Amino acid sequence: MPSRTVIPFGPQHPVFPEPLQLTLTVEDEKVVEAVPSLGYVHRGLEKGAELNDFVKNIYLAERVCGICSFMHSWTYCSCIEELLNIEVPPRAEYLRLIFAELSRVHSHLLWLGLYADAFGLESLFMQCWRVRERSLDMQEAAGGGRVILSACTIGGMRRNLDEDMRRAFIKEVAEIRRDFERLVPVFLNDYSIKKRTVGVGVLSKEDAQSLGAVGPTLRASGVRSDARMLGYGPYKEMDFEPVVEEDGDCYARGVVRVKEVLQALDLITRALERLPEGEIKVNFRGRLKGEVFKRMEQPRGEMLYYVRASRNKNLDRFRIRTPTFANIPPLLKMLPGCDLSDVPVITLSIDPCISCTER
Amino acid sequence: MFQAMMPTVLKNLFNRPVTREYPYTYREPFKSARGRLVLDMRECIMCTACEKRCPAGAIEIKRKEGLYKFDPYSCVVCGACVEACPEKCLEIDSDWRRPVGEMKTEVWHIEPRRKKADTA
Repeated sequence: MPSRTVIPFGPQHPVFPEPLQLTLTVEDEKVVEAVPSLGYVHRGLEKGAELNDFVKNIYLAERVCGICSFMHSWTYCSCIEELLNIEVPPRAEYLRLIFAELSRVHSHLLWLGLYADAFGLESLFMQCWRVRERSLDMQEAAGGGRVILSACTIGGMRRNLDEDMRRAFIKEVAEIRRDFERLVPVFLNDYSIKKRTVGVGVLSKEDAQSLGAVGPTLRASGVRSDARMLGYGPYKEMDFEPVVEEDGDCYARGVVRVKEVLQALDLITRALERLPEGEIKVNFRGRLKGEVFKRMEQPRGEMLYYVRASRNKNLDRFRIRTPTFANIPPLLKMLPGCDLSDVPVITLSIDPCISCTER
Repeated sequence: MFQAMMPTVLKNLFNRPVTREYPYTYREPFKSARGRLVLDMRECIMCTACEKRCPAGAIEIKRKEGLYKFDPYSCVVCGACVEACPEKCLEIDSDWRRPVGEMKTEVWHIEPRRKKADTA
């Protein structure tokens, strides 16, 4: 019988941008068991939100994640808007979609870079981040910050796009698309990438559904599920169709994200072209009462927000279920049976965001 | 192989570098970027609207003592105070705050006074 060795993988590991520990039991070079340990970056953010004024929580919710910060503020604001019965102006809704899809572009490009780095293609990593920089510049020009935009507020948006910027953005999106399309064939056809990813970390459709996978991890296993199909915000007018792949391996998860970048760029262009005129913000009054539950699609998958309040300026309960939390059980299903050298690629393929998971 | 690589090699030899030579070449910030908060206390009426809106607790006002304290290193530059200020004393500058050796809280002593409409 081959001898078993226990290897701690993380929390400090070159492949992880954030601290997650996987205790791997290996038989020779094959992983037989993986046990995760979380809790290195817990910030008590949910409790903090209960102590704050609900308006100040927008800035706190935004800091749940350092990548998809805009989507957190959007989800939080739409929860409060539902409690206060506020109707957001259409222009603000379109602006929200534009910023959210820009976050998706930069998040996926960041991940594709890290993914390339995980299997040793460092120049591809740099190329992805070079393209990503353009989308960050767009966010800074329009939102005021590279990642933390503080652009979303209860009742609408704090930042508007003027006509010049709108036209410049349409051109810039086309250029990002042109730059990125030069990298797409590498991700789809490159021999060495295929060698490292095809058939690695396979998650079957049944397992993905029963273990509750979300986002690109779920869609790469052939399940047509995306919270944007619910038609929140202007997505209902966008003829949105999710990207689905069938194989469920690391390659499929990469392909889903590559296609989602192109899809997000399309959505941004369409939203910019259709951007309605009018107000971007409505004022609100009143105290919060009741509870609300929201689902929205982040770059990493479906995110759940629960907010409960009882006529106070503070919230009674604030709860977030981030996509990485849902994707950890599927990850533990993917790891057993793989080679130790494939663990970094498989772990990265769910796009782990540990700081949001632990909040 | 040689033919495939040569154009890239020549391009890289004779083209300008794609990266900026920081700190010799400085990228100008975008006009609407939120770099730092600039305070002009001459018009301040100590209404505490900014203190109430600040999500980071960076502003502390003691009206009776005429004290206005601003901690620039707690400030998250969200701009909530700028929107709240009735006298437009606060402004967001697009340039970043430079690194410092010692973190100091900015303190102003302001004579408590009434709103302009009351004094006129």
